[in-house]
Amino acid sequence: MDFEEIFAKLYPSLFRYLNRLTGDPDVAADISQEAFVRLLQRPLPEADARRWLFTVATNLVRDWARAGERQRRLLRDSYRGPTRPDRPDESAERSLRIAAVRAALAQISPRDREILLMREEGFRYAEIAEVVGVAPGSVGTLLARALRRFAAVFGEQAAGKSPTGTDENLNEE
Amino acid sequence: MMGHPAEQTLLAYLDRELPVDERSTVREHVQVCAACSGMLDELAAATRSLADAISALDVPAPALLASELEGDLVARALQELDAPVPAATTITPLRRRASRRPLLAAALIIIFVAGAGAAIPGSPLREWLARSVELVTGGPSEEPTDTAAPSSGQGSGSPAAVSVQPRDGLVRIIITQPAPETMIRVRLLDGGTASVWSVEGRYRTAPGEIEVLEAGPGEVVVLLPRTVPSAEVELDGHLVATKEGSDFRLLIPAADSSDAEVSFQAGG
Repeated sequence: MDFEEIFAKLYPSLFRYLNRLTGDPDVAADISQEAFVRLLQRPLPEADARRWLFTVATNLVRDWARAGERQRRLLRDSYRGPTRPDRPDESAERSLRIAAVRAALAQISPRDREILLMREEGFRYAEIAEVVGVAPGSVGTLLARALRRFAAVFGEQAAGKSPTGTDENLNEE
Repeated sequence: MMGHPAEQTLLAYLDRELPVDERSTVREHVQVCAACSGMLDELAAATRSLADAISALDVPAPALLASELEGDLVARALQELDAPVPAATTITPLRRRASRRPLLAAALIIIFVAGAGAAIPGSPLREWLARSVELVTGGPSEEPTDTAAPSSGQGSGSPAAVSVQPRDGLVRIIITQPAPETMIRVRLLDGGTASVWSVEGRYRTAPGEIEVLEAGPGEVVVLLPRTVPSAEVELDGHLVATKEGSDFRLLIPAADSSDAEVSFQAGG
């Protein structure tokens, strides 16, 4: 499989993962591009390319988050309440839901976000362990806990409660 | 009968991560244990809820990203002109979809050449390039000669293929079946990345190897780092340029040359 095929196959998934992880489509596009440019300089078989791409991209997100306040500000400001839709073309209900999801993701730890979102992209536990940098045997435990945490905070957000603890959880663990 | 499985075990069961025997054991237990069955249902519901929730964040991926990769790489190649020479040499394809954007492709090449020239005035690289080109062409100011390269055995209009194969420090650039209109430019860089940039065609990559297929008429740009210990450029099986250490030799007359590059036509 050549690079173009790998790009066509993996780019949507990588972008989706990064957009969900950062909450910023522009950042997701930039990091996707950076990861694929690096892959272009290091040709890999498809099976390795996917895991390698997500590893590079996840590390780039960590660098980006570590670099400044931007992510914190972005995620915090994304929760604007039911009377302030994010975009004019979105219904208030949809806008509220998006804000609640972002706020809930912002309240769980970066590692929890990474593993939950990688699971959503269909990664196996062993792959998640390699990308995130945890012991393979701990992934199930971490996932179960992250799932429970997300469900709890999302439930609160969906019920209309204000987000709490947003800032501190955006830092690297 | 087994004890109650842990929550992570139930999740691993749900995710089909358990070995076959353990999976069977958990399945049998869940069938008879209301508590574990309920927990499994909760995990499944939480999984669905998560998937549904985060899908609300999804937006279409930018469509132009693939083409932007090429420009990004070109920009990096330019930056490498003034960068310190890295210890290791890698091989990189510079790819583009220029077949659908021929004018943009030409513009990018022009920008690239101009940028490279501007980046190295007075540098040791410039002197080295000028001296090397002078050796084989009679001097940078020499008038362009007529058709330079061996003719293609496949006739006019046949697709060209370019491959780069690093082998024991050797970079071998092979251009086969080039269209006569194909202009091949070899640029010598002070960076650590050997690259091939073809206006058209598709690349096939493997570890340490790049192959460009179906490169039609247009330009093929070869970026050759000075750090490559040994390099050869072949055109239809004919050796047209070699590099051994700091000695770069063009074995056929160049169609054009400058301080920064030599170029020749594929056939004609």
